[in-house]
Amino acid sequence: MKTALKYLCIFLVALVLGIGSALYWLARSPLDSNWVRKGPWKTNVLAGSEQSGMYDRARVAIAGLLALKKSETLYYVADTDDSGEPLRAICEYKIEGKGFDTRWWSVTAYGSTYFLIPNEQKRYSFNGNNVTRDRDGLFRIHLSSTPKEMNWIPTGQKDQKLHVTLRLYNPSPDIIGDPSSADLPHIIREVCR
Amino acid sequence: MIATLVLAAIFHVAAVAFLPDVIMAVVSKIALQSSKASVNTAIYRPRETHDQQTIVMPSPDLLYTLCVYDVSQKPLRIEAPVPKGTYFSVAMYAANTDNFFVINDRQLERDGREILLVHKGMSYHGSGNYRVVEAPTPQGIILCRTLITDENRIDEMIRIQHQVTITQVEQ
Repeated sequence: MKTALKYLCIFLVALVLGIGSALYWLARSPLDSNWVRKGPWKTNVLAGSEQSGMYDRARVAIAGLLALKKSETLYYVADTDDSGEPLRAICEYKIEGKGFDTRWWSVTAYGSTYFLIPNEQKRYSFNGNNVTRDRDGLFRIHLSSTPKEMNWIPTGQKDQKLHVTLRLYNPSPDIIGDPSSADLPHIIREVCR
Repeated sequence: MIATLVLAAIFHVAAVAFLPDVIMAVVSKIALQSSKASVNTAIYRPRETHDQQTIVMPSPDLLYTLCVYDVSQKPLRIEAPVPKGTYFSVAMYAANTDNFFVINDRQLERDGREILLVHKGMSYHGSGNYRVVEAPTPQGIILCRTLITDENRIDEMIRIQHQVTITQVEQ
């Protein structure tokens, strides 16, 4: 009886340690060479690929299931603003950029669980076709809980972490070869509640 | 102590290695149940909104057509449209989430609209003007993406989305 109890304890402790360490490791910010970083943006160049390692594959399954290979689409993800502070729904942000050497692009905001943020307007993204540009040729997309005149993505009243994804469909060969060469937009924090 | 650590390491590796398979299985089940569809049939998803989302990080700019496939017994024939003026792609994922095949509208126009999905090593008979794709695992997901280029053309995009046909091929 004592021996059985001892084995059960070993099993349970190992289970908690094993699963717990796996979840902790997967939640950590990845540092390996498959990730390219530029400003607040990061992209996994092996996302969706059969060459992906088990940790990257698990991370993509959690936060980007059914991603396409980079030859078809590059996904840049931002969890922070330009200054490195986490993106939060209680703050307002301006995403400012020129555009990209790609067939089509979009910027989409997600809540802490990587799902679309509920809002009455059902507005979650802007893309190269529907974004309004300023006179200087730049686009400025606003993440905010209060209405903005142009390019407004509502972030709701609930305080939560935000994630922003920039999708480049059929990017140019130069960007596929070097994802850090893309002219990625700035994410500028304006004000916090 | 050492036995506990060794066992913990085994659980750690197993959890990381099998997590994608588990997530794919759960998502497949939810997709089938929520649409009351069966395996090997096309599920034409409505536009993604906050109250209509099954998979993490959906793109609200795309219309998704999803198929939970099982080619362990019979191949699947996928016929895709070649729309003008928008992006369209067919992507295939193995049970561990690997994107083992993708083709977009430009490549479909050049190489033909029909694809035959077979399980790796499966013998199949038939002749036709189609591209044969071997799935590394018998089960997985096919995901077609149709880009909504213009909100005023949404009905046209939905018509394009419904032009995808997926049927089992009798051997």
